[in-house]
Amino acid sequence: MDLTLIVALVIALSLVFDFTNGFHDTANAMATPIATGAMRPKVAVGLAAVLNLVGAFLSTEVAKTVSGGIIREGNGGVQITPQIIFAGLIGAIVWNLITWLRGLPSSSSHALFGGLIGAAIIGIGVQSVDFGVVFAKVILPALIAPVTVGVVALIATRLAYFITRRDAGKADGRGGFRYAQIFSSSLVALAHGTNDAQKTMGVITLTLIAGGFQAVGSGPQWWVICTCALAIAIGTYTGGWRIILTMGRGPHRRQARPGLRRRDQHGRDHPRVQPPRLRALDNSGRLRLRHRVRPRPPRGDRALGHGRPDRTRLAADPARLRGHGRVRRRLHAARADRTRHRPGPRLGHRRSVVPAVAAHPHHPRQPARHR
Amino acid sequence: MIDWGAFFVVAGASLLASTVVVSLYSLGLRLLTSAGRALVVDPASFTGAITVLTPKRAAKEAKRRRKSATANPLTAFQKRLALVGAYACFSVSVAAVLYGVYLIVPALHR
Repeated sequence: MDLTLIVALVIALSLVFDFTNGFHDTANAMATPIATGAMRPKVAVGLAAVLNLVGAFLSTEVAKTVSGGIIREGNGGVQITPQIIFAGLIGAIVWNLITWLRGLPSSSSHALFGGLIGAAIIGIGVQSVDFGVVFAKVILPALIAPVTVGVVALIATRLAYFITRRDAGKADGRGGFRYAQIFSSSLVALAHGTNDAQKTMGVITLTLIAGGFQAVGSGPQWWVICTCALAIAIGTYTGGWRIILTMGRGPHRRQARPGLRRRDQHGRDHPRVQPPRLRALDNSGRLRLRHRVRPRPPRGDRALGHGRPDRTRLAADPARLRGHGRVRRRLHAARADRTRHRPGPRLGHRRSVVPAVAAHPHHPRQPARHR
Repeated sequence: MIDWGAFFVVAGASLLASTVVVSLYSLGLRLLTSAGRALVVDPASFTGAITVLTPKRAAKEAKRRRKSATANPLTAFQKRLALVGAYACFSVSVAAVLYGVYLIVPALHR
């Protein structure tokens, strides 16, 4: 095929990748301020798109690493062809779309690098990839970053709570953190623009160098920067509209479908259908679905074996066993065993049912808001 | 081969920067509250989002804010001092954020 045509095709594909990248990552920046009500969804998404656009123009350092570091190209190295970049991009785009469909917060950049490396290994050979650089600049940061940031966030959150603590019943001003969230999420969007738009710039520059349209070792050209910035900004805005639509429908399934109506323990209709994920810990520490928690007979009775089918009583009355299948009999036996071998109540053991997951905002049982 | 020093520098810098900014902002909020001007976000202004505060709770917060404004042990001068301190804290944390932006744009410091 004509070289110019392939190069044009690869550039178009890179811009598609850039679009999916922005599409994929809006939520990272803007889900938190929308969820806490710090910003209106439309404002948040627009701001994210604009900041991605601005961020893409700010610097081209990452682009230079991508176009000039990982694969040994140019004089003395191997000859990388636009076909290899094409294959790598296809892999990365497919991965991006699947993870987006499944709702996985996966890294678009690592998908891109992986695609390029794999394509280079098949197209040229293992020696074409500088594995030292790959390990030091791609794999290691991916492993270290979550741990480091987790520790930093832990310390910072502890500090914030410590500084703003007050006696119960007094205003502590913690509502003001929502204003700070506007800035922090804006910075995340800006950083996303400076980082991820440049990966695509790097790929396009690499293609242009490989096709012989650009000098080896030079930075991205101005039109590459502009188109990449636009592609990621449009992608961010489009992806954000999905969030707005989801939020418009409500953060949870509010409408009770007839088949899903649940009764509470007294047989009344539950006022609201509880979100299906809400689980509760019973006093033995096992996770159970909340609506499964059944009222128990008083403890004294249970200790005597009342209120539950007991194997000894069943065995003593063979007439009651008639009509029960083997499975049913086993079930009874197992239940009786569980009742008998249950350890006695420990002092200070929590008997109350507490939600294990953060409670739903509209759920009648709310966890303590202030620590 | 692998530049471990760079990782430690990055980790240390992010720890330092985030703790300083978070502390300053929290301190600003604390001082603002001491000055009797606690920030309470009105849920009505965020109609597009999830309602975090129920109207009942918002009324409670407003009452709490009025109470903290009236029953304040600080003198008027101390309150003003706290307010000035709060705004100083906010401006320093904003300046830190702007410095961060300045650092990631090579065009500004080259």
